[in-house]
Amino acid sequence: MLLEVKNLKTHFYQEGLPVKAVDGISFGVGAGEVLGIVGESGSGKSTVGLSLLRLIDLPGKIVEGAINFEGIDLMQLPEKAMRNIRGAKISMIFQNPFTSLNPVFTVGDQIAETLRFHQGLSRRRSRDKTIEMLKMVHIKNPESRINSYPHQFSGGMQQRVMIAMALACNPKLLIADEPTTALDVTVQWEIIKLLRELKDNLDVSIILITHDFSVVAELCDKVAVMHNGKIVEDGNLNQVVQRPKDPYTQKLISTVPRIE
Amino acid sequence: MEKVKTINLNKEFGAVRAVQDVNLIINEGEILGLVGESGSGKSTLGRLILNLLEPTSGEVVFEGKPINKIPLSELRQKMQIIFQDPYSSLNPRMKIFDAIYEPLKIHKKFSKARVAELLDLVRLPQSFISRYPHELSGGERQRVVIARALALNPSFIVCDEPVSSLDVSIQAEILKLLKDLQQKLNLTYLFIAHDLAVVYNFCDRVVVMHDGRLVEENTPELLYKDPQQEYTRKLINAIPKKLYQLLA
Repeated sequence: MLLEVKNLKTHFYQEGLPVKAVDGISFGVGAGEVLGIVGESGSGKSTVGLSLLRLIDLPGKIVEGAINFEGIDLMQLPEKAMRNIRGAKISMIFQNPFTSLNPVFTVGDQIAETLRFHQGLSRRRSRDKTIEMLKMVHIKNPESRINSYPHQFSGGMQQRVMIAMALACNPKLLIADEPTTALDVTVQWEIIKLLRELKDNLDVSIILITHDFSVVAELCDKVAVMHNGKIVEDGNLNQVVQRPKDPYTQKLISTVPRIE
Repeated sequence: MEKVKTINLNKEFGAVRAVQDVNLIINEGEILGLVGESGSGKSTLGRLILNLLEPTSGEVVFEGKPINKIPLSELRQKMQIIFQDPYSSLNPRMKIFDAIYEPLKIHKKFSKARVAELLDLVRLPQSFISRYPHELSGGERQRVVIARALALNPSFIVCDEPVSSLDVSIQAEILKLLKDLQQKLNLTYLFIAHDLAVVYNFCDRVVVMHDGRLVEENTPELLYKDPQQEYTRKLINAIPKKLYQLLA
């Protein structure tokens, strides 16, 4: 197992009382595997992603649990060592690429920053690698596009930039939190195809966080269904989709608009 | 009966021709789906039909009358709009009661009982009147927006991506509510969406818009089975289908 999470609990405190956003969940992700974490708004699925990177701020706190990544418990690492994990070994992309990118830097600068920080690359080498990454996510004319600002890209192109940035340092794990939700269906389809291609060509595991079972079905090997901070059902994709046991899972599957 | 008709409708924003020569008929009591990608001009067309935007050329006819000949206060009572994002459609400093009451106040129909009636209609508890939008979930907010749109008893509503920012499971609930209301109140909808799968079970007829033009029109079933345009095929291909295959 690349990642093994045991009894993770992340609570947020409101007037002293805990809101149990993540309430004792355990799961694992193998090398090259894609795990879908599915649930509605408020189920705690995004908090899981942020917890794995220890990006929970007050009034939230990871109160319990172990996050074993490549044999190391991330919970025991000092903050400084965590900075060498984030973006290098585990990286994350979010729903809204527009708010994830800094509007006043070129996309080239933003991708190169990761490479310089984690791999100590020179300006010239980080530039070459940045062009290579933009090519990988199928951005045309990457040599000139590295000098463009985020607002000069469409939503789908911005998400490609985010993916290029997240994968620049060859991470072992990519956490994708609703990566297609803010996009049109046609653009969503392009991003699904891109993620599928990257999964096949790179040595990277993916955790896909989404509310949409139709996206899960396209990409995932395994599924965990979250409801009120708990995993109510998990298993292989086919098993969960074809023989869902929990009524909540059944609801999430049956509400996907069907075309017969 | 024709509820809405557009005649050679054009809208230009500078050099951008957002809507080009659109001739569209929406029949009374029907749900017409308008599908296209971001930038296809579908929202602009919706706004032109509501007289929220003035066309560069062409005309919108509502219930047989040119729309610019109908007094605005009358028009606003008869046609309404529901937007995509229930977070930005509600004033965060107004309680739910005030949000729903506002159109009634503006049109001098001071009836607090009507607010209660509207909450029932969208299946929200009466206790919500004293809440603020931030205390509600996305689906609940969209119900409030729907209640407000219905306040003045309109007969025609433009639904501009009303479920696109909601979870799939909540989408299903809101679509069911919109369908029930349409039947109960004999409403006519123009339903704007980018997702053919959403439109498929909801609309009576669908028009596809691309680069400001209407490129294809049909029933959802025929459009899906036998698309005539390359662009329509692209929209259909973009629907994730693996889930259907697993469930088949």
